[in-house]
Amino acid sequence: MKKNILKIITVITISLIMPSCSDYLELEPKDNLIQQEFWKSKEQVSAAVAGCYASMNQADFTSKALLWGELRAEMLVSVRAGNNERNMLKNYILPTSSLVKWNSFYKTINFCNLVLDFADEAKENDLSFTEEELKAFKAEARAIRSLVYFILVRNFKEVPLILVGTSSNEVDFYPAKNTEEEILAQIISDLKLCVQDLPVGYAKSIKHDKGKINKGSALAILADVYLWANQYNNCIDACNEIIALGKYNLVEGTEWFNQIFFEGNSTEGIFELQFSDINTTFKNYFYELSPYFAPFGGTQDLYEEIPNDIRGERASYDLSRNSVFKYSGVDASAGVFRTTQEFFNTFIFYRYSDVLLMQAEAYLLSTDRQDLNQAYSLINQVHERATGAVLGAVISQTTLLDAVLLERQKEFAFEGKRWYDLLRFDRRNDFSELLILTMAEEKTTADDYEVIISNFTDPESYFLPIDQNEINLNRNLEQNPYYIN
Amino acid sequence: MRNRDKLYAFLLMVVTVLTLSLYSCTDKLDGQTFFTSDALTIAQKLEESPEKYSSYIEILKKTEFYNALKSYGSYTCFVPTNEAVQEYLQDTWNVSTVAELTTEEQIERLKTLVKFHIIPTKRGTSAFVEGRLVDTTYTGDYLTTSFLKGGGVANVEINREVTMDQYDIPANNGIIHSIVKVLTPFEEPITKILENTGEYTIFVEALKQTGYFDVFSVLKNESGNRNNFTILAESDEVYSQNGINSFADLVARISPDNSDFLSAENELNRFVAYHGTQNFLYSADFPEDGFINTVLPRNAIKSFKTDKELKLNETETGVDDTWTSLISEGSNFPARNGVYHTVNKILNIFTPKAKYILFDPVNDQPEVQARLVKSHQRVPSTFYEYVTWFPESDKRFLAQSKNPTVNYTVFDVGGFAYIEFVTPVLPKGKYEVTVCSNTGNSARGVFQLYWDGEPMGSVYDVRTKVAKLGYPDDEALMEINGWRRGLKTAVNNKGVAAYDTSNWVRYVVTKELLCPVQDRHVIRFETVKSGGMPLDYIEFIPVE
Repeated sequence: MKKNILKIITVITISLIMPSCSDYLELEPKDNLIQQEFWKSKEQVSAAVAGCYASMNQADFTSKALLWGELRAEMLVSVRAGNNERNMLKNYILPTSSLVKWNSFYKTINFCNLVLDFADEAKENDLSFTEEELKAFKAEARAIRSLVYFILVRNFKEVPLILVGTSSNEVDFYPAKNTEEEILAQIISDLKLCVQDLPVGYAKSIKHDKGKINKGSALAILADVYLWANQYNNCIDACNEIIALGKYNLVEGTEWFNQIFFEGNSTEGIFELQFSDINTTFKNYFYELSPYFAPFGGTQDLYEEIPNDIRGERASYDLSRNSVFKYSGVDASAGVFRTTQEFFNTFIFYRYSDVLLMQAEAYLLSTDRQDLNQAYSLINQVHERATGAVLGAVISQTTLLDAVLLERQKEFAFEGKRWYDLLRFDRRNDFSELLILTMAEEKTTADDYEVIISNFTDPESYFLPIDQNEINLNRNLEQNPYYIN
Repeated sequence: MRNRDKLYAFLLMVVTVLTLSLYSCTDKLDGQTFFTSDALTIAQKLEESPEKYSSYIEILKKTEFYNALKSYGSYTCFVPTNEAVQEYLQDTWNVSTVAELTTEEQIERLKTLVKFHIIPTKRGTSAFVEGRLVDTTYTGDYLTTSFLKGGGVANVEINREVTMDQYDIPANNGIIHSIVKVLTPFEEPITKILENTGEYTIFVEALKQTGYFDVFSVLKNESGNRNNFTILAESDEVYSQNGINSFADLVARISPDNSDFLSAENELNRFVAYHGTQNFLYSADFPEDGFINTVLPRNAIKSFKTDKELKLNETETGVDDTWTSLISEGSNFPARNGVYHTVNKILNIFTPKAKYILFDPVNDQPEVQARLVKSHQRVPSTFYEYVTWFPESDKRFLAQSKNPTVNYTVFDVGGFAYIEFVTPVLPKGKYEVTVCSNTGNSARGVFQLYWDGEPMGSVYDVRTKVAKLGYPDDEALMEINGWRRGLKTAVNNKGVAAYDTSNWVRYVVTKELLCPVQDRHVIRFETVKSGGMPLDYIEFIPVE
C-alpha cells in the first residue's frame, strides 16, 4: 500500500517537473544593463547623452535630414536614385514611401527624453555629480530634442510632441498631433533654457567642441526657429549673442572648400555631427564614381553669374564629373576625389555664415528694428568672402530679400537647407507668391511639365505625409490633409 | 493480484493520464484554409465596401468579369462608385438598377464598358503622365491622364472627363482607382469627336470640304490594324484671333482663287492635310528635336521641346523667331482612332532648313509607336507601311538596354535580298549620311546602299573590325577608311556610350547627298554577302 502511494507521488512529481522550464522565472537579462541598474553615476549619464548623438549618426537619420531639405528643391537631380527619392524630387509623395518614416527621429527624441527623465536620479546616487554638470547634460539632450523637433515640424508641420521617455507603460502609446504653435513654443522655451545651462565650448578636443551642443549651437538652432516662427527681433538677439561669443568667424575665401568641407570643424563650424567611421550618407549619395545625385543643370549658371565665386566649380560642384564636390572632393586644384574609404565628412547643421545670413533676413523683416544697411553689410560679409567683390544690390527690402535667398542658395548648396529657405519665404506671405512654383519649373521637361507643376500647386503638399504604418498603428494620428485618399 | 492492488494500479493509471493530459497542446492553426497571400483580390476588395461599389460588382457579375477579377492576374481597374453607376444607368438607359438591363445588346455594351475600365497591367498613380498611359485597355484603347487641374495626383482627370475618388487601392491581383463618373468608351472617330465639341466648326468644315473628314474617320487601315491619327486643329477661337470667323474667311485666307478643295493641289486641301499625321502622338510623344511626317506628302512639322514648351515649326532665323505651340487645355483628347490637339496659332505649311536628322528605323515606325508590335515579335514585311523586304519572311526588332543604341532598339535583320526604309521627310539641302549597326562580327553581312534606286557610297561591310582601322585614337585614319566613332549620346544601361564601343561605330556612306526638294526618300540595303545587320540608326547631317 505504502509502496503504491509512493509510486503515485513519484509519478505525479515527475510529470510535474518534466515540462517546467528552468529560467522561466528569471526576469533580468544577463547580457544587458537594466533600467534599475543604470542611471547610477555621472559616467552613465554622459554615456546616455553620447547615445543621443550616436542615434543621429545613423544613415537613416542623416540621409533624411539631408534629403528632406533638398529633394523637393531644385539643387539636386537623380543619377541613379531609388523610386522614393525620384518621386520626392517631383513632390509626388505617398504615405507608404519609406522616405517619410520618422522612426529615427523619434528614436533620438526618446533617447533625449530618457536622459531628461533619469539624469536627476543619477545625481542623487553619485556624489561627484555637480549641479552644473547635471544641467549641462540635460541641456544637451534638450537641445538635441529641439533640433529634431524642429526638423520634424518643418517637414510635417504637426507631429506628436512627446516629452517623456518610453520607460514604463504609463506613457501614452497613442499620442495625437500637436499644433505647429505648440511645438515651436516648446522648442523655444527648451532652447532658452539650454542657452543658460550650456558651456561655451568643450576644451577636450576640436571634435568635442564642434560635435557636442554648446551655447553657440543652441543659439544657432534658436535663431533658426525664431526665423521660422517669424519672430525677427528674437532672431536678431540670438544671432547677436552668437556673434558676441567671439568664438566663430568666417574662414578665408581661399580656404572655403578645404577648411569647411574637406577638413571639417573649421572656425566657422558651430554644430557639426562627427563621424568616427565613414559618413555613409555622403558616401552613398555623392561618391564621385557612382553617385545617387548630381548638381542640377543650372548650377554652373548660378555660380558664374558673379565672376570668381570661389564656391563654384571644384568647390560646391565639379562640372566635368557632374559631382557634388563639396562632399566628394579632396583637392580642388588637382581635381582629386574621395575614395569610398575617405568619406569622413562631418554633417554640418550650422555654421557662422548661416548666422550672419539669418540675422540679415531678420533685420530685413523686423518691423520696429528693420535695418537695411545692417542687413546689407551682413549679406556682404558672406558675399565678399566668396567673390572678392562687394554685393551689388540696391538697398531696399525686396532686393535684399532676394539677395539673401540667393546668397544662401550658393553658400549652403546641397547642405539640406534650400527647401526650408524657399518654404520659409513662401509661408511668410501666406503662399500668395510662390517661389516654390517658380523653382519647380527648373525640374520640368516638356514631357512632365504639367505633372510636376500640378504636384507643386497646392501648398498643403509642401508638408510630408505621415507614414501609413504610423497611421494604421495609432488611431489618434490624423494624416496630413493633402494625402488623405 | 489482490483487489486493492488492482484498485491502486487503476488509480495510478488515472492519475498519470490526468496529469499528463494537463500538458496537452492544441494546434491553433487547425481547421483553416491557407492562401499564399492573405491580401484580397480586386473583386474581394470591392465586396468589402458594398456602400461604394455594389453596383459595379453587379455589372461585373452580369458581364462575367467578376471571376476574372477574383483570381490571379495583374490588373488596373478603374471602378466607378455607386453614384457614378447610378448616373450612368439613368443617362444611358433611363433605368435605376443594373438588374433591369437584360437584353443582349445591353449586356454587350456593359461588357465593352467593363473592358474599357480595365488595363491588363498594374499601374499606380506614379505611372500617370500628362497624356496616354502606356498600356491599352481590354478594348484596345489608351486611357489618358491629365494633371491640368493642378493639385497633384488627387485631382488627376482620366480621359479629361472623370476624376478619382480614391487611388492606389492595392489588391492581390492588381490595383484599383475608384472614379466618380463612368468613363465613356471611345466609339467615335477623332473627326466626330472634334465635331461634337462644337468648338472647331471652321476646321471641321474644312475637313469635310477637302474630303479629309472621311480619311480621318477610318478606324482600321488596310492591314486591319487600328489607325491612330494625330490631328492638330485650330479652334474657332484661335481662328477668330486671326480674323477668321467663318469657313469663307478661311478659304479667302488660304485658297482664295481655287475652290476645287478636293484636289490634292488645292491650297486648302494641302493646308488640311498638313494638320494630320499617321503617327500617334500625345503631347509627351512629340519628338524632342525632329520632324513629324504629315499626311501631306513631302511635308513635315518640325518639333522641338524646351524645358517647358513644345515648339512647332520654329523659324530658327535667330531674330524674333516664331513658333506654334499646343494649348494644353485643348490637347490630348482621345478618340477611337487617334488623338487631337489644339494649336495656339494657325498651323501653316512650313518649309524647314536642312537639319540634323537621326532616323531610328524602329521607333520612327507608326506601328511601333502605336505598340502594335513588341520587341522580339516577328512580323511580315506587309505589317509595316514604311519598311519592305524581300524575300518574304517574318522579321523582328529588339529592345535591349545592354546595348548603347538609340532608344535601346535595333532592327534585327539578315537573310534578305534587300530591305528598304522610307525615311522621314528631309528638308531640302545637302547631307552627309552615316549608318550604324552592330559591326565587327564575322557573321555579319556586306551590303550596297541605294538612295531612291541609285547606288550610294561604296559597300557597307558590317564585318569590319575598326580596331585595325585606327579605332579608338586615330579618328582621322578611321575617317579615311570611312568609319567614325559611335554617338556619345547613345548610352547603355551601364553608362557606356557607343562612342566608347568598337562595335557600335558609324559607317560614313556618303559625304554629299543632295536633296533638291523636301521629301521622303527610300533607302535600301542590298545584300552583297549575306549575313546579319542589327541596324540601329541612319544619320543625316547637313553639310554647309
